Amino acid sequence: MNYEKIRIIPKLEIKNQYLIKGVRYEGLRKVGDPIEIAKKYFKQGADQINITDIVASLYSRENLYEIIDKITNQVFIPVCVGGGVKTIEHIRKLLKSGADRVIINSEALRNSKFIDEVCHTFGAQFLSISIEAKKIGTEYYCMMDHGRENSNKKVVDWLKELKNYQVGEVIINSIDNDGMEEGFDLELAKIAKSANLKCPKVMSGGAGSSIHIYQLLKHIHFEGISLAASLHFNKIKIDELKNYLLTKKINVNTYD
Amino acid sequence: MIKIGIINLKINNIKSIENASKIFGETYLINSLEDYKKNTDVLILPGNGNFSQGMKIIKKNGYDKLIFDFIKKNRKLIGICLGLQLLMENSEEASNVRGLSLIKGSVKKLNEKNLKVPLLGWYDVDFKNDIETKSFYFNNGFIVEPIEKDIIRGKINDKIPAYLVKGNIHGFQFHPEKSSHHGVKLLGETISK
Repeated sequence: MNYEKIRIIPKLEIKNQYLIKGVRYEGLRKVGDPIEIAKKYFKQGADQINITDIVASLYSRENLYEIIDKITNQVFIPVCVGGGVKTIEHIRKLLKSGADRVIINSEALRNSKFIDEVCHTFGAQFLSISIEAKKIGTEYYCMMDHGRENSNKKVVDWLKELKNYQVGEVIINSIDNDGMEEGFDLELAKIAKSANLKCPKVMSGGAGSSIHIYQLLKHIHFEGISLAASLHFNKIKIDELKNYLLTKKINVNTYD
Repeated sequence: MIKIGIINLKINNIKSIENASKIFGETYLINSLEDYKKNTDVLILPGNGNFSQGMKIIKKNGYDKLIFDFIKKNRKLIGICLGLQLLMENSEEASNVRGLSLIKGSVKKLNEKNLKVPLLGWYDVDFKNDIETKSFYFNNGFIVEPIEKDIIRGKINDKIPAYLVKGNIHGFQFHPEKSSHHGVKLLGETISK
């Protein structure tokens, strides 16, 4: 039996000061004000909020600190932040704005020593590794820079490598299913499961309904489910999703 | 009004605990020893991170002496997550580093068949006293093992210590300040009672 409650995690992708959403990381459209939307998801019963700065330029970074500051003033659940995180100094600034944990993708692939550096400074529980997977031919590859560049590393190999590090969590994003709202990439989910990670793992990309989430969790256990388009475009409400999952005996947390 | 000082180890998010604490009293941050105000009623040692880093910062800033003196005056100390672990004698995370040793016992690597490492997320905590069982947010790869078992007032699954009370020392392994409204409420009750 799993004592851990499966976390429902809204994923907020931010470009400058806007919450945006694309399809397969492209065709980005504005959704609204990330602060108001974060507050809404907190009220609906989210267990955590993940924020990604998809531009990760110097200018957008300053905006991001302010957004995190405003969100964490009103949202009393963990807030994790990623997007272009490359230095310890940058992480300290995120912490100062109120971020609880950090999410890293590209820099971990480029310079795996950074993983150790982050874990040593802030503790292993602090770091979530994000994998942005894209299927090319018959293999899944780890993409970098918000899907713009291929690291040429296979997801299956990277997962194996990550077992040598004490990371806090691994988030598996399917670029191919992102924003499609047609369900999760079950083949990718199976690859993640087969890696037998010691740390929690989160599945992301593709959910369009509560049933999609149940269909995934019925077969493959994840400690967290990340949702974006389905929440932003009102296909799923977190409280209703959790009530539904409870009727299916999926262990989720409900709030008063 | 209750005066609350929060020791800032600068290795974790300090803002959330500050925001939560502000609801219940006059709250200020201790960024160096000089910041400490004499008539402080409650001292909070928060933290999330590495045991040896935490102790290094405590020693370097002289916070150890501040904490010892504070406890001697019979005032309330609240340790949160790493802040709780630092109150123990030692930790498997840093074999040659001595903790503050205010609570007898050690910090062990989490090794439970049914649990992922680190604990990351929400777990039900059952309390010994009249606090209602609810889910709280955990983010730790290590857990405390106090020698005196009766100071453990809350556990996950009847096994993993989540809340300790020893005299005026309260220790949360979870993050009440990040555990939604009921977590913030529990922090407030602990500050005020």
